[in-house]
Amino acid sequence: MAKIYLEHLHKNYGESVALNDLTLHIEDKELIVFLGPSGCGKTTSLNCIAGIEQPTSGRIHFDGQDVTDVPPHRRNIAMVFQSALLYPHLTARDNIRISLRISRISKQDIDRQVEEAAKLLDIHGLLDKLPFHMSGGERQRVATAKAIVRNPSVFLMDEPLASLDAAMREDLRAEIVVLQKKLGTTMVFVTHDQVEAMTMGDRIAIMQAGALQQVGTSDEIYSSPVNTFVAGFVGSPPMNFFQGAIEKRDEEHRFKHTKFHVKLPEAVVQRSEEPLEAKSVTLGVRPHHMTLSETPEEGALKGQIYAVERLGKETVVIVQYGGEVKFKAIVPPSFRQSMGDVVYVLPQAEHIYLFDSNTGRNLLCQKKQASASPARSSLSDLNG
Amino acid sequence: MAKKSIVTWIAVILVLLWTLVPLYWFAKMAFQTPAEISVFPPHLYPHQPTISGFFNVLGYPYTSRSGEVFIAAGQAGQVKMGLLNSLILASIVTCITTVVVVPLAYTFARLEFQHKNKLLFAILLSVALPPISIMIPFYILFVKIELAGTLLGLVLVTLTITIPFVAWMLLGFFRNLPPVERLARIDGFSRFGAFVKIVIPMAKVGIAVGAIISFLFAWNEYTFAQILVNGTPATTIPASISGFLFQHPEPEHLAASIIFSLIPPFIVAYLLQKHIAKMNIVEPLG
Repeated sequence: MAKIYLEHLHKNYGESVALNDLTLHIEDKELIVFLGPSGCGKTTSLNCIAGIEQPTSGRIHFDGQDVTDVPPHRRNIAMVFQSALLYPHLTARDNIRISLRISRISKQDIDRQVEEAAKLLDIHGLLDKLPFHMSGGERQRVATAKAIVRNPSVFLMDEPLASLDAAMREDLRAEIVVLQKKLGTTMVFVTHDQVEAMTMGDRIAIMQAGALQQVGTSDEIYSSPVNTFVAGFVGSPPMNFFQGAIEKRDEEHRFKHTKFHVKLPEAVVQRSEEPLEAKSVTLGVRPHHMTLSETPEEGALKGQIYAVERLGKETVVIVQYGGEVKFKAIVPPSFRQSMGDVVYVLPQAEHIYLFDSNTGRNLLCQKKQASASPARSSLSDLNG
Repeated sequence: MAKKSIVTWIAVILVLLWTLVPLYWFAKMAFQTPAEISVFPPHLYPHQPTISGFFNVLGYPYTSRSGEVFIAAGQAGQVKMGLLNSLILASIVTCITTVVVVPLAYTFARLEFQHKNKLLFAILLSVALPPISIMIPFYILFVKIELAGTLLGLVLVTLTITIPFVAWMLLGFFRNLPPVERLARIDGFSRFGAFVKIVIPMAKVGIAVGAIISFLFAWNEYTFAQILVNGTPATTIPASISGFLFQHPEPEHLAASIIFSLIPPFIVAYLLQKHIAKMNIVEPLG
C-alpha cells in the first residue's frame, strides 16, 4: 500500500552524526528489517520515517509524494515502540481506540474496528485490562492491535520484541510476519537481534554508525557480505578474521598469515575483480568452515584448545594461538579432543572470504550477485 | 520468614508508639479538666472526661453537669482566625504550587534545553537553604512593601519553599514515566495536547502526592508564620497555638486546639491515602 523512498537522509545531533547519507527504496508490501548494533541510526531512521524526528537534510517519499514536512498523524503510519509501549493509565480498549481519535469516524465504527482488531489478534479477554496487568506478550499483541486498527499504509516497529523472553519472542516473530503478509502492509522493523532480522525480513538493511552497509535478503547478506562489518555482524558464532597478505608463486595464489598459510583455489581467485597479488587482505571464514586435526598438516595453524562447548548437534571449539588470540570453530559432535590439547587448524579454502585490509571491502564477488557496494545495491533497487 | 515477620512487626509497633503516644497524651489532655491534668502521678486516661476544652478554645464558656463553669480561652480569637487563615493559606499554596510545579517538573524531566543542569541545581539550592537564613531579609523586605502581617505575604514566602521542594520530588516521578510522548505524536496529539491529555492523567498519583505535601507544609509551617503574622489578623494555626506559651497555663486548651489543627491534614491525607500508597518514586506505575 505504500512504497517508501528515503533520499540522502542526514541527521545530526549537535556534533554527533546519527544518520549519514541514507538512501533506500522500500518496496510496497515488503517487510524490511533495519539491523545494526545500538547507536547505529536504525531507530533514528525509523523516527524520521514516522515523522517524530526531522532529518537534518534529505527527503522522505511515500508513494512518490514528499512527506518530509508532514506531521506523523497525517502520514498514515502506525508504530509499535520498544517494549510494546502503551499508555499505562488506559485500558487496552482505550489504548486501541485512541489510535482512531483523529480519523473522524463515528463512535460505532470505532467500536466495530476495535472489535475487529481484537479478534484478529485474539485479545478479547484483555480489552478491559490495564497494561500493568498484562504479560509482555499480551502487551505486545495489544500494541499491534493498536497499530493495525488504523489500517495504516506503513507499519513501523521499533524493537517491539526486545523485552520478551526467548520462547515468546519466537512465537510473536512468526505471528508478526504472518499478520504482515495477511494485511499486505509495508513494514519497517528495527532490531539489533540478527536472528530476528534473518527470520523475519524479506530484505535486511544493515546499518553501522549511521550509514547503510548492505541491503539484501538473508541469503545474500549471509553468503556475500559486502564488508568485514556485515560479515562479522551476521552469523553466530561470528566469522573469524585473519590478517595476512596474498603471495603468488608458481601461478598459485596463497594467503599467508604469520602462523599459517593456505592455497587459494582458482575458483576463488577468479571471483576477484582486481589482481590479488601482493595485496594485504583479511581472510574471513565462518566457524563451521574450519578443519581441525590432531596431526600436523602442511601450512596449518598450531593452536591449543581453550574451551569446548558441546551443543549436541554440533560442538564449538575455541582455539587459542599466539598467546591471547582466540577464534571459534564448529565441528561435528564426534570431536573428542579436550581442553589444553594441541590442534592443527586450516580454513576450508573454497569457503573463505577475502576483504581489503584497509577498507574492509569484500574483494570476491559472488557468482549470482553482481553488486557489492552499498551505493550500488540501493541503485539496483531503484532500477528494479 | 517467620522470624523476619516478627522483626517487621516489632519495627511497625515501635514506629507506631513513637508517633501515637505523644498524640494520645495530647488527646487525653484535651478531655481532662485543668485540675486533673495537674495530678501527680498523671492519669493514663481521663477519669472524668469533659469536652469543655473544645468549647473554650473556640470562644464558648462551658458548664459541666456538676455545675462547674469553664470560661472561654483568651487565645480563642487567635485560634479561630488561625484555623480559617491556615485553611485559606494551605489551599492557595497547594493550588499555586501544583499549577506551577507540574509543567516545571515535566519540562526539566523530559525536555532538553540549554543550562538545564545549572537551573536544576539552582532549584535544589533553594530547598537546601535553611528557612531561618532568609528570614531577616524577607522580614525587612515585607515591612517595606507592607506585606508583613498579611496572608498574601505568607503565601508568597511559603511558595518559595513548596515550589522547589515539590518540583524536585516530581522531577524523578516524571522522569520515570514511560516515554509515551512519541506514541502520542503518532496518535495525533500536539506536544501540549500530549502533556495535558496523556501525561497529566498518567501522573495524577504523583501530582496528588505533591499536592498533599504542599498542603501539609503550608498548614504546618511555623517559622515564617511566627515572624510574619503572629498576633495579627493573618495569623495561622501553628502561630496562634504558640501563643499559649506566653499566657496563664491552660494545657487543656492548648491540647484541644492541637486536636483541631490535626483535623484538616487528617482529612486530606485520608482522602488521598490510596495515592500515597501507590506512589513509588522509582517505578511510578508499579
